[in-house]
Amino acid sequence: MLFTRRAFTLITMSTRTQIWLAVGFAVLITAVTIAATVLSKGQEGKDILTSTAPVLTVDDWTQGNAQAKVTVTEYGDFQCPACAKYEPIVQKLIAEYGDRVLFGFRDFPLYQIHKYASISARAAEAAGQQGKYWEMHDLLYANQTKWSVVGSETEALNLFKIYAQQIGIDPIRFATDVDTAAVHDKINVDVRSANDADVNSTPTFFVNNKKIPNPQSYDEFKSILDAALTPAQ
Amino acid sequence: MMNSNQSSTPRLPLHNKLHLAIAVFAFLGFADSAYLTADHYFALPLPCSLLRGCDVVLTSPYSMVGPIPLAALGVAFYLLALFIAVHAFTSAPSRRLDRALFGLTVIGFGMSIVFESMQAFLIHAFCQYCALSAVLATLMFIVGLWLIRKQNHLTQ
Repeated sequence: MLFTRRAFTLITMSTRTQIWLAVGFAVLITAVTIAATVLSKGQEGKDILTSTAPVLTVDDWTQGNAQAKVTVTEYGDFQCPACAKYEPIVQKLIAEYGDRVLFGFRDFPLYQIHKYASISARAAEAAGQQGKYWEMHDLLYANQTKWSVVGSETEALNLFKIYAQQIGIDPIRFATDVDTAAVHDKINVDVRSANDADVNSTPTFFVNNKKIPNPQSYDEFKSILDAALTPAQ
Repeated sequence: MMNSNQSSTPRLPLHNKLHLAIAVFAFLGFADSAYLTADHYFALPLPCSLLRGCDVVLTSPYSMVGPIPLAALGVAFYLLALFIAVHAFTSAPSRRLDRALFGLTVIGFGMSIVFESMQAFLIHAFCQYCALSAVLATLMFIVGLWLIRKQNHLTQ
């Protein structure tokens, strides 16, 4: 045991205290530095209305005129009650401006606060793989209050399978597709673009890829689109 | 000419070096986890430049254990490992402390495998901060293994 005794004599009581003080100090300094770094970044990110979203592409789910000079991009979460409230407004805008505006929807599932944010987003993407994205999108919002309150993700998926049948897609393939890498990847791409664009709540709208404060009414949204459609003087 | 055995500066024994190595890795792991925890509570974007995916991983439902973010559990894990490693480093050699330290590194290594697998197969995205934590936990496990083997060798 000569080896171990020699080891112990290397560290005296005063050295031991110094080591503990140094470790405690290092931990404290690290914690303070991290807090300061993170908080200062938060201050930089406050000016949210200068954020821009990536241009809508063929990889996005869109409605309207692909050649339109005005685009509206919505980042939404199917379990978000505010998104469901905006849905009739967006539908009305699509009906009125469909030939002059290109509307796009991207996923920004708020996993931390909505239990079925993930499965609902995947359900829409899975329906999209059978060419019925918008049909599932509309049904999910229309029935949000029903599937949001079920007890488990399996129960939610069972309801989504019924919606799949209603919109005329193969429910068995649909149930398989919700777990494919392609579906996960598509949502991940949307989430990354949302984070890059400083999206931190849903719904968040971008007109011509620039973030706008959420309009409080149909008329307010309409006036924003009219202004965007009016040629610059 | 001075013989190396007569050097005035005593060399640190190997098992103390191993404690020190675990303490250093645990400290780095603490810093990494603390950053992720701060990000979780302040909801800030992470500068994910190497592997794009931190945002996806850290906002996924798998990033929480009930109301507690996994990153906060990481902070607790690394602080505990740091505490035990420093205690072992500054105390008389103790088989109990070394075994506790090794046990902790086994848990950290096992959890890292689980978390990396979840990123690969469930979330389909990787976060380099989580990867760094996994690397540190693995290094701690390797050093812990070395420590326990050295101790077994000494007691034989």
